[in-house]
This record gives sequence, structure tokens and C-alpha cells, in this order.
Amino acid sequence: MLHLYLPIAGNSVNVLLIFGLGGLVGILSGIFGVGGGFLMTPLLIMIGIPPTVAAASDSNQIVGASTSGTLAHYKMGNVDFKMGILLLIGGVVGGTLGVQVIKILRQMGNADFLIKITYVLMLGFVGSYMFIESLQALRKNKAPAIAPKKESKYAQLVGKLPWQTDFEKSGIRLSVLMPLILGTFVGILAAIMGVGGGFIMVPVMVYLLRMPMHVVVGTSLFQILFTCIDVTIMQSYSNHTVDFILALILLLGSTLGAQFGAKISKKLKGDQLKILLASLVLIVMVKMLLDLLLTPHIMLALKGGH
Amino acid sequence: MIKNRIWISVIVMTMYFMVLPKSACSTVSVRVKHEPNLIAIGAFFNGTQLTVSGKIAAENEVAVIVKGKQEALTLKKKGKALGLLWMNMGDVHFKKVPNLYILYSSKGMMELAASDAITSEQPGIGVEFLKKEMEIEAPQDERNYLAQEFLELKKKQGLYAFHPGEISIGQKSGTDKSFKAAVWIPPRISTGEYQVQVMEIHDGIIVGNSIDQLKVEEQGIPSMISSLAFNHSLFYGFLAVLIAVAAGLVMDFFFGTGKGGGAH
Repeated sequence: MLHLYLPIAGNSVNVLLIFGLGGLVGILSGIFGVGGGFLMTPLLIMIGIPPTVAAASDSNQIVGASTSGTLAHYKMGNVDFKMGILLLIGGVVGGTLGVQVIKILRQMGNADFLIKITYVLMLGFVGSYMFIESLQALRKNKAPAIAPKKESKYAQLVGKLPWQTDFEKSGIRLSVLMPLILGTFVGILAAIMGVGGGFIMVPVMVYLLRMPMHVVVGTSLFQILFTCIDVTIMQSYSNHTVDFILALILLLGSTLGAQFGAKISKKLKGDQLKILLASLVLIVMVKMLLDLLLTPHIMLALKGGH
Repeated sequence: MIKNRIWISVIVMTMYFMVLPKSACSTVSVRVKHEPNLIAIGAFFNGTQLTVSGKIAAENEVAVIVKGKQEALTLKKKGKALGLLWMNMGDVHFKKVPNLYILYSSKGMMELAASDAITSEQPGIGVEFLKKEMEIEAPQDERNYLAQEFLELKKKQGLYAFHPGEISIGQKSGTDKSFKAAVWIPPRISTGEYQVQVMEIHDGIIVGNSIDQLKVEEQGIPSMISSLAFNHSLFYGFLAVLIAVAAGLVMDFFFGTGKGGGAH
């Protein structure tokens, strides 16, 4: 079996295994437009990559995968640049705030507890909501059922915000503040949890910004591309944790997998996609919950990762 | 006259102690060689084998230890939050822990290597020795438990390994016998200087000792990438992004307009 030595990770890996992992996560990405880091990083840690290197190299891999994804969606007219840039600005502000929040939490000594709980609760909430909503939609065979009273109150509140503007690609009219505020919110959460935030951003765009699903996937990828470029450069510069060889093998697998995923995706309806994604998110949540509840095998762990 | 006699006695005794064989009060050097002397980490490195061989007295046992330099390490300690949830509960600082510790021993030493039988009298070998050496910044009652968990973690990483009874012994020739240890060096080994120590043991007492140096260094592509990543980190970051973007563009070119991409 062909092994390659990863100089930054300081370990050797089976090329086929890494290529396969990239392919598997790529297929899921191709189907849903989300689902990279929160699956890939734990898998890499399991095969012996140090946690910090796993997370940073995965960001490098996502730069390549989301380049190809954004380009494909741009050609299909699925990228709302205006919305994407506003979310990105919010994301950068939120990320910076989130890092400060983490520092304060660490000084208080309960950062890890809050991170884990936030992670499990977010995954549980997002997964359950999407699951129930798309299950109802599939049963009724119509558009997503959202409580009308709640919707009108929310719509009234959103309608009162200043600086309303048209987002033509998404076909909606919203205040500029909405993507900025929600981008900041996702940025804070992403920084606290140490992930890119795609799996929170997609439901936010679908349910809170009311964007059409196909534009959501393209815009999310566009935003993620820039987030991961920033993370890759910052991690390389500050922590020397990007293993380029690892990223490249993953990238070859994930871009190829994404193509198969896209083909599967085309055969599925929007609600079927959502319910599958919701199941995936819930499985990850259950796995994390079990990690919290079951007695660990070894009572010590390396630092870093998520 | 008496004074002269005293002086002569002192000189004679000093000379006696100077020519006294060292073995009477310390250990002798073991005749040993190891191959290779340098481990090169290249692009396809996946661990390697180090052969340590030599000769010992026919009635003795032998242990081979490959160990790295002592370092300080900070790990996360798992504990229960709210009496229910297992998670990382603060840092534990370990000091004086070798970054690599691999022990092979001959069959007769199996019990000695696995237990602490030898260490109380003759420090320098085995699990208990490692525990005794390391310094842990933790309350006294937790230290033994944390040391045990530390060893488990290192064993899981392959950086600490104990192979009792895995040194092959050859035929006796006169008063000597040959030995050979095929020491497995894990792929996770880091670059630097290591010690290959061979101990000859008789009835639980170390009677012979030999320490050689082993160098581990990166060569070729791994060396080039490490140098870029650590010495030109900003350039390396931009390069990693550029190559990833280029790879994404190439994939898009070959696979056309299909829906692709990977989101975080």
C-alpha cells in the first residue's frame, strides 16, 4: 500500500485512505452544499493526524473544493454576490468577536464546556428543525410549513429595519442589516466552535433570510471560499499547522466525490435533500453526545482541534 | 622513617585503585552495533527498522532502549462536568518525559521489563522508571493515575513501546552469545537526536552498558516543505491557497458545470 509522509502532521498516511476520506466527504458536500469540516476533522484525528493540523489542513482543502463549487454554481447563476459579501463582512466581524469571547471564556476556565454544549445544542436544534420541517413538507407534498403567526411577526420585524434593498439573484428585498447581523452571529458561533460555520449558515439563509435553496448552496460556497482562504493563510503564518500534502490528497478525493454527489443531488427533491442533511447533522450530534456521556478510554488528550 | 613509610603506603594504595578494573565498581561497555546510524525521513517514509546486534556473556540477559530527548508537554485532562458529561477539564503539565521510548528485551527479562522488579535497585529501564522520572504538575494523589494515562496515550501514538522477550539470542560461542533486536521505529518519530542504549543484565543487576547516538532527519520533499512552512510561513500560506485554487479551477475545467464543492 502506498504511504506518503506528511511533514507538518509528522506522520505517514495511506494515500488511498485519505483519498477515500476526501471522496466520501466530497460526495456529501456535492449532495448538500455543506458538510466538510465537522465531519473531516474528527476523521483525520482518528487516523492519527494532530488535531490542530487536521483542522487547518482541512481548511486548505476546502479552498480548492469551494473554488470549483463556487465556479460551477456561478455558471448556473446560483451565487448572490451582494448577499455573500454582506454575510462575509458580518462573518469577519463575528469571527473577530468570537475569538475575543473564547479568550474571556478560557480565562474563566469553562471554555471547553461551553464549546461542546453549544456544538451539541446547535447541531441538535438545526438538525431537528430541518428534519421536522422537511418531513412535514414531504408528507403534505407542498412548500415548507412555517407557522404563519410566527412568520408574520418575524416578517414585520424584518420589514421595519432600515436600509431595505433588493437582492436580485435571491429574489428578495431585505435590510442590509439582516445579512450583516446574521453573518456576525454565525461568525461568532463558528469561531467559538472552531469550524467554518457552513452547516449553521445554510439553515440561516434558508429559514431566516428566506433565500431559495439553490442560491443558498452557491452563495454559501462563495462565502466559505473566502473564509477558508483567510483561515489557511492565518494558520500557516501563526501556527504552521497547514499540511499541504494532506490537503492536496484530500482535495483530489473531495473534488471528484463532489461530482458524484452533484449527480446524486440532481436526482433528489429539495425536501429529500434537507431531510438527509438533517439526518446527517443529527447523527453527528448523537456521536458527540455519546462522546460526552461514555467514559473515555484515555483520560488525557492532545490540545487543539474541535 | 615512619613518615616515609606512610607516604609509600599512600602511593601504593593510590596506584592500586588506579589500576583496579572498572567492572569491580561499575559497568563495562557492551560490544554492540546498530544499523542504520541515520534515519532519513523521505516522501515515502512509513516507519523503519533499526537493527541492534552485539555480544554479551552467555549467562546474561539484554535490553535495548531507543529513547529521545526529555521534553515538557501540556495535555488536556478529561473530567466530568455537572457530574455527567465527560470533557476536557483544564491542562496538565508533564515535564522530563522522553519524546520516544522503545524497549526490547531478551526472554529471560520478560518479567523484569514488564514489572518494576529491576527499577527500584537499578534505575534506567521500563515503565516504573518512566513514571519515576516524569514530573507532573498535579495534586499528589492524582500523579500516579495521570502518569499511567500518559503512558497509555503515548503507547496509542506508537511513541512508547514495550517488547519484552523480543530480542533473538544466537548460539553460544565460548563464554559469549550473540543477540539481535529488530527495533521498529514508528512513522510518528520527530527529527532530532536519539540514544540507542544497550544494557547487559545479570541477576537483575546492570553489568554492561553502551550508549550510541541515532540521528533522525528529514530529506527531500518533506525537508523542503518543512523549511518553507516554518521559515517562509506567509509565502507558504499564500502558495497553499494558490495551489488549492488552481486545483479547484482544473477540476472545474475537467468536470464541467456540474454542481460541486465542499462547504464547511
